[in-house]
Amino acid sequence: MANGMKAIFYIFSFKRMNEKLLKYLIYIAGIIGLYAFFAVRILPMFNLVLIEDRHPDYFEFTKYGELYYFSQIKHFREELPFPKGKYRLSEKQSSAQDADIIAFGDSFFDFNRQKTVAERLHDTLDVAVHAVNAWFPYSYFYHIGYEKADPKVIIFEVVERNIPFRFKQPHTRTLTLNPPEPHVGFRGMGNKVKKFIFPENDEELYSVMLKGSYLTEWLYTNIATFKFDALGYISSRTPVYDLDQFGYPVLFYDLTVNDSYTSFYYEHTDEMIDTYCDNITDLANKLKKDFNLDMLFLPIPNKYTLYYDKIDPDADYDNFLPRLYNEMEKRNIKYVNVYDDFARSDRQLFYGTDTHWNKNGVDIAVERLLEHLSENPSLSGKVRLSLLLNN
Amino acid sequence: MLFNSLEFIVFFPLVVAAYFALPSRFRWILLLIASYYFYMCWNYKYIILIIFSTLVDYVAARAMFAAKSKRTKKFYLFASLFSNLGLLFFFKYFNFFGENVNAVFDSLNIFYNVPEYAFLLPVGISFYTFQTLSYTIDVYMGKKEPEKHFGIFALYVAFFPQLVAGPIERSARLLPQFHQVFTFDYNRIKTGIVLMAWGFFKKVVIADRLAEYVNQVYNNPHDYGGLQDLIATFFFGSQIYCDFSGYSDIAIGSAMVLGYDLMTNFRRPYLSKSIREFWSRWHISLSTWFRDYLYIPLGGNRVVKWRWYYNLFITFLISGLWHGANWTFVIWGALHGSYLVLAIVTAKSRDKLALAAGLYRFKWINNLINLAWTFALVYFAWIFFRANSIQDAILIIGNILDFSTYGGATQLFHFASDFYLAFGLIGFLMMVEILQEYYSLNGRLANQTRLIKWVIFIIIVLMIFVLGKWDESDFLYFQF
Repeated sequence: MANGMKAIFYIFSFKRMNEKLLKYLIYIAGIIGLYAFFAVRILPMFNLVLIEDRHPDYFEFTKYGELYYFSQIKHFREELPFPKGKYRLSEKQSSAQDADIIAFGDSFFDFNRQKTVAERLHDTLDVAVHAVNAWFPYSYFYHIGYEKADPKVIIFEVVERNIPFRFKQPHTRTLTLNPPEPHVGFRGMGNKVKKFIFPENDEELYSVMLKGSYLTEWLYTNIATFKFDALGYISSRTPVYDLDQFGYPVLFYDLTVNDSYTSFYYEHTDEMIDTYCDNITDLANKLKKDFNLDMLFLPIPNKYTLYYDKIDPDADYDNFLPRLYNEMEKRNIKYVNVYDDFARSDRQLFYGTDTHWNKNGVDIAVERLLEHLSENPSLSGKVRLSLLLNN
Repeated sequence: MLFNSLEFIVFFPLVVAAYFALPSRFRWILLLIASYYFYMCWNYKYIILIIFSTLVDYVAARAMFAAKSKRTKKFYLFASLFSNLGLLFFFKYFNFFGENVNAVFDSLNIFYNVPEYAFLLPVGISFYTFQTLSYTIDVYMGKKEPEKHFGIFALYVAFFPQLVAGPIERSARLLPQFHQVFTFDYNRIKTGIVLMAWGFFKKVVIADRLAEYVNQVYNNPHDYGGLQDLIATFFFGSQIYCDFSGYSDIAIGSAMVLGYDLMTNFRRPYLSKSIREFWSRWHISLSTWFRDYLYIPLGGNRVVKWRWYYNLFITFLISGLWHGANWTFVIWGALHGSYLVLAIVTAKSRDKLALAAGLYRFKWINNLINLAWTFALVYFAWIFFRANSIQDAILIIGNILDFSTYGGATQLFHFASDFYLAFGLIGFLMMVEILQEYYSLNGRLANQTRLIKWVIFIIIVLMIFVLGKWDESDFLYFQF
């Protein structure tokens, strides 16, 4: 009897309850861990717990700008136009072979909070436009087996911060950002298994889950905002910001202000610019020779290049883009100068809490592109007619 | 996988939950898979090295035990030493060796270049190599019977909490624990979790914050003056302590949650009153390893005086080299070796001096002087440990001693508040350690009410979240 009472007492004792509670907590944490472990490997599981769906590599279908999601400080919430479907994944997209114009570019050409440049050209001129989101056109056309045909124009867009990396070396057939990996046979299978067990970007994906899941988003956001308010802390990916001078919150991407070659503060020497221009010329020649593609180069200024004086009035722009234009002019490289228009414009050309341009920026680029295209001899009669009608 | 990564925060509860859900006879399998996965997350190919070391030492130890003659035993011991140290030499020291041989050849006008290999240094190779070596040496010396169960032995080599940065465990302590069955023990798990939290606090709140200033100065020594160098050196002493002891706390805490008892690796080293005492409190698992497997076999202090000094000096010189393939580490080791030899040589005269000055009447003043002196010597040696080259270290020492270079901005943190916070946090840590050392803080805390204990725990966890630097950064000792 006494033992029975002891047992009952033990079962309901504080220690016993604590022990049980801790055990359950550990099992719950284990189940959450198990879910997270598979969620970073299986996309539908990943998105199931997120307030806003994410593609692992993009911030495409989110409410706010991508830089907000890096800092996740409430003051930098800027609601952006909801993204449209991708032009390059839509029915409007034509194949590279059938296209009249090829719009080849990085995330600026793929950024779909407003109509992309490719879509604008397609809709304005009513011609076939093939949009590509990639970094190295020469290897791309080899990879897709593009066959040399009638001449056509390829608009090659590169944002300013990426120019050094893209043109520090000549473009070759094998120069790609992500070298193709075997995806068939034994090696292909092994590769898939390896990627499933040891995904390269799992830390990044866990971080997205921590910042954006139903369970933790509010906690993370409140802590990040508290850290900003109390101690001035902000994510190292958005180290430069302004809440007042622009009249709206503005964040800048670390790649444009850190000490790497992508930064505004990086010193681009004349020798470097010579090398970049040599490699741009070489690329244009190769595209013409091997694919009969006429390259029109479109560098987009960094957001920080346009607004640095509001953040760091003592800084000096080393005039990287104007100097690049100057050298390209000397080498007869066809390019589109949007920097002068951007610098002169008093409109907001970039989203405050996103690295990318907004509709105003795209408007200027499309306007300049149409001017250049109308002067281009490589365009088909159909495009010329469209341009004529458009003018 | 780093402890201060989200990957680990997902991995650990998953392993713990599975561990307690599984019948005890399967637990070693779970831990072995988890340990290999833990290591492979860094570089999956290098797991081969661990498996190779495991196989060699398992076979060598069993063959040694079965061997009748001393000669055969010796053969297997040397086979194990050769393979383990050979791998360590090849991956960690070959390029260093090559560079120096090439420099000598150049000076002698010999036109031969030892080739250089561009491979990654396997994380934790120095730690698991020493752990397996201790096992084979113990079996050879007859101190330990070889492990029969290959899986358990593999787990001993690769146990994830201490695989990449220790504590370097001895087989006699850790191996038997893998045969034990641990039930769910509330107090043990609670203590383990609190220890992990304290380790995270030291790592992400203090060490990683200080690293920003230290890296800035030590990676660009020509850009800074004496005051910044002095502050950076002061910060580095705290950074390396918080980084490494933080890692050890997380390792010991996580093993404790699973039921295992790892050895204490740090005992408030900066409260030492002599260099000898410092080494009984700093990286204890390594210093006792060197004591047992190098210093004592060399003869220890049971030899003539000059040989004793030699034994001490050579042990610390090798300990310096163990930390990295760079002359800066060798000098760091040599400095500590010299400190110890000088301490023995000057012991009597220092005693006389203290007596003459009347310091023995005021013990606390004597202790304070010894503490400050030890602190200064240790921090001076840290300059060589952290500097990227001997030239940089000399430049930094020169700047610190040259007051004309003092001045200019001392604020090198990205966030201004971090500068003052850094001093505040170091002060807080010192206070905690002093209370632990002299007022048995841990015991007093254990006697507090549940509410007070919870409040303290929650404050530490909140500080980890709010003040922690969660951008990915390696633990310093991973490179060793």
